[in-house]
Amino acid sequence: MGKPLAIVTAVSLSLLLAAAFISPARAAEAPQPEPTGQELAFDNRKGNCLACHAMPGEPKAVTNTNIAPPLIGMAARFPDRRKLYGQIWDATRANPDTAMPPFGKNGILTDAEINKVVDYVYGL
Amino acid sequence: MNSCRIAICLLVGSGLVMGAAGHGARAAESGSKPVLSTEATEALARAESGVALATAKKALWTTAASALAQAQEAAKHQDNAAVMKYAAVAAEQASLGMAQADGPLTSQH
Amino acid sequence: MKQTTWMLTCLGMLAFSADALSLSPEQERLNRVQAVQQKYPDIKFEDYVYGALAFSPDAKAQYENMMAFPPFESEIDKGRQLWETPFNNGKRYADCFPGGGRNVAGNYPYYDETMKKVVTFEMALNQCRANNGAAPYKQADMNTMGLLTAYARTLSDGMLMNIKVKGSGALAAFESGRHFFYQRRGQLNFSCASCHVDHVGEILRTEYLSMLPGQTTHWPAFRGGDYALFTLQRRYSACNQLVRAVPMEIGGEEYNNLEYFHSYLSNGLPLKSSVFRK
Ligand code: HEC
Ligand code: HEC
Repeated sequence: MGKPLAIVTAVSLSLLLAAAFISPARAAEAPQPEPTGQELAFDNRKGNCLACHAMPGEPKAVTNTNIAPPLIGMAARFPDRRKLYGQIWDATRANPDTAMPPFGKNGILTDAEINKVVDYVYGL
Repeated sequence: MNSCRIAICLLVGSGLVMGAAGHGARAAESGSKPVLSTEATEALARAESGVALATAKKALWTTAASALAQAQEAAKHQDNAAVMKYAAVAAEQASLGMAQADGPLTSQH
Repeated sequence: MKQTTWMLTCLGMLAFSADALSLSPEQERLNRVQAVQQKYPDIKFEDYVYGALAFSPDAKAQYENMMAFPPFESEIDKGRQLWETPFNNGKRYADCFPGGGRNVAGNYPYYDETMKKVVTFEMALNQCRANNGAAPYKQADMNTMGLLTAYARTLSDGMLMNIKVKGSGALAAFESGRHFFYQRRGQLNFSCASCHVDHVGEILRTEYLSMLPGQTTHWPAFRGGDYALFTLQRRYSACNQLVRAVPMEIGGEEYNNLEYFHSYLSNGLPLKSSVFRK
């Protein structure tokens, strides 16, 4: 009997927590303009690319990271747009052990958002 | 192990019952307001059982939990479209979490 | 139904054979230590207890300064009061442990053969309370259990971490903790090892990533500008939330097994409680 109770408690607790977390965000949702590709790439609740990638050609990109290759010269290095899109959609396909989150597969970014990020990254 | 299975059944069961009966009934009671649609009711039940299963599997994502909370909140206001939207996210995020738990370990080279 | 049972049995056997292939606890520890040594030959093994600070001389110097007069000393004093106040029967916590509680924390967690489960130091403290007629503390309660350990663990400062894994039950618990550490979780799809093994010493936006060996020697930690008290398992919870995974119960079996594996990987390193962390 202990276990079901614990599980029910855990579920309801997490839901309560989640609810508390969400309501203010929803209130603020309405008037905000759509984020740009750059905003999506920088925002630590969205792409958060700067957690792992430096952007040496982008003065606004503030990060100390050295985890992953710097995002630079992307148009030359990724002539095939689908490849760049695929890397962001699910990085585990190219490297099963990767630390890069599968932004599309896990629904961290929508397809439209990934396209904006790809557009932005192509300019780097 | 057994008590765990019972817990899952209870949760799934109660989720379905709450989904099927609870929301519809509550909506009907409140009179003037529109009743939650059958589709929305079913979608919510699916999300609730998915989240319960992922919880039992210790594989629940915060995104699944919060989407379910949003769907449940929307159900209180008989907002069918919002219920459908958030319930779908919750069910999907719950099943992704469960699939992940069966996936390979990292760093085994 | 029969078929499902069969399939499950097969899956179970597969899982079992995969486990059987995994390294012995000691081989696993040595591999993880050697990997850090190869990547960072200038950092001494003893210094792994500094975690992320070991990668940044500046941050480590600031830390040493602060630790000379820890601003959270009064909190540790509250813990000392809890530790020293006798139970209703006149006995004390010190009576529950060999050596009055000195040099014991490095033996926890251990695997208890009769209970068939991992016993953490927090569980032993609660057992002591129960034996003396006091209600257990909630392990997630930083104002009781957290404070108590903030003092009780200082009594083991300098002791070397000394976790033992012997017998099949202990090994299974170790393997379960090991699995937790290497399993991806949360929407962001990280395992603990993605950060603390694969990218150890690298910088996640602004934070150096600490090494797995040495992560369990210095708890609880007082964190951030308000010196919030974090037991080791509260830290687990925070790292789970970071990757958008719903955390497990503090004091529950999953985290206890994780702590067992995790602490074994710190074997041979000196304990030092209670410290500051960002
Ligand atoms: C948690 C760390 C992390 C985050 C966050 C991250 N990446 Fe990565 N990324 C990596 C790693 C590590 C690699 C190296 C290849 C691999 O392991 O998959 C990589 C590789 C890449 C590559 C291929 C690079 C090359 O030079 O071949 C691209 C493109 C890329 N990431 C884009 C992005 C974008 C865009 C974002 C933000 C939406 C992002 N990454 C977020 C870790 C990350
Ligand atoms: C996305 C990267 C990431 C993942 C995944 C992650 N952590 Fe952490 N962890 C951090 C960061 C950043 C810190 C703070 C800097 C440091 O001490 O490494 C930290 C700190 C810690 C510390 C404190 C170290 C100290 O000395 O204060 C422990 C213990 C820890 N993590 C354990 C875990 C465990 C166990 C898991 C898996 C459940 C995990 N972490 C997953 C990023 C991560």
